[in-house]
Amino acid sequence: MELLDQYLKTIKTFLPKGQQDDIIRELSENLISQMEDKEAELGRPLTEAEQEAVLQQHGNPMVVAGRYQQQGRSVAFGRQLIGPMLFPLYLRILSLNLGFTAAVILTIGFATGRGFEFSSLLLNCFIQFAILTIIFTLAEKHLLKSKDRWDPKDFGSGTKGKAISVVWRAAFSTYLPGNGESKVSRSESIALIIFNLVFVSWWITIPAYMGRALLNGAGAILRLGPGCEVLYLPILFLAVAGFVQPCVNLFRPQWVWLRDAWRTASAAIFTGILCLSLKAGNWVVLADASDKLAQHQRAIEVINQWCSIGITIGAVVSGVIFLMELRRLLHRRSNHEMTATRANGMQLS
Amino acid sequence: MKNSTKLDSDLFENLRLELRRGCLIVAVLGHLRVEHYGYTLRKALADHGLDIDEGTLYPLLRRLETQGLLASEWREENKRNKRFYRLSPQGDVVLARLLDEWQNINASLTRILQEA
Repeated sequence: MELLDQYLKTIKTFLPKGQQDDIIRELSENLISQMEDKEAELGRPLTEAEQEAVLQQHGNPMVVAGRYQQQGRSVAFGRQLIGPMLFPLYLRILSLNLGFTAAVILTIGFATGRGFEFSSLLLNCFIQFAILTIIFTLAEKHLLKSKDRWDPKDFGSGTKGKAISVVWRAAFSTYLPGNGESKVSRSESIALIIFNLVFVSWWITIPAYMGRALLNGAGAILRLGPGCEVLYLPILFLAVAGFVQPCVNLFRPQWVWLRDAWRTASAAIFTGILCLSLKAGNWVVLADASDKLAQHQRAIEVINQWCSIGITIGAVVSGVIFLMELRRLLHRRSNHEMTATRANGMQLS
Repeated sequence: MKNSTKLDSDLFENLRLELRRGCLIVAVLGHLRVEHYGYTLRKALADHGLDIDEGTLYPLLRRLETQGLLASEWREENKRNKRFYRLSPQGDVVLARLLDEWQNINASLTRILQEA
């Protein structure tokens, strides 16, 4: 019953705190009864595969736990975008994100002597909110489509982190069992085009916005440094080039390889851009090179330190994504070759 | 053509789920005039032709209990503790009213469909 224990442990991590033990105790009894019934019917103990089938039928732990969220809170604009299943996770990540954003803006504001800037805080929080909401809306949509694509053995130790990664993979991965994906869906291509459009429009406005933001407060003191300059154009180029793949896949959805190849290539390019920026360093510099005021020097140090941490984390994450995408690309290729060999073999026989 | 078939089947599925949702609650309340625990209730419903998956039934039982329509207690059966549910006095009253409503809807529908 190790599998059952892991399964219940995973569900438990997503349940409302006060009810965890009670719900798990009840679920455990019901599942054991179901398994015992099956054993009585077969006249022998269930094999591991049969136990897996019972759990698989019972449902994805996160989906099962989501149904016990009593308030059933969700995000809806006309129609439900993020359901009760993902809402607790969405809320947690959103609050962490907004908290972090507020802390960074406050630190930069006070370090540069500009103080608390409500408009900047509001704009950045709104951008974070919009991006996270879009990501979770897509995850919800994919998860509903692919909620049966999971394997009880994947959850291993039954920790929340493991469970989230399994569910996330189920939501976005195209390489899990049961998904014989042979086409890039039209909705995925359209969503990507819209996302790129929003991103490019936002990215283009950054120089004007940054200039204004700096001029309003510390423009006389600070200006963007080489670390930022190295980032700007390559990212713009990457985003514009990012239109090609979904546009092609819109008319040639069977070219799944193109999407996989672009994902791998773009992750590699993005990692490279971030590394170049790290190498260049100094994301913000003093507008007047002869300015030796200690307060300004300190402000520059703090901002550049934050930028360095953020970009290092970004580069590591992007590098890991690149390796994962590369592995998937090679995996798909070897699967494709195996299928072709099998087909040839069948033809020959 | 293929898209319109998919749309029709999606639409039908949504309407079917809506129709089933209310009926399942009545069926669960009706069945719990006799005490059951989750798994045996599910089996009993399936034996009567109403298949309901565990992921829907077990949270539903807890919700109905929170609303005061069901009462539950942990009790030992076959050397194991199980949570048994039964209709509460308030649930009994609500079930009677729901069944009245159901009869009225059924009668109206029959009349409408006969006239059409």
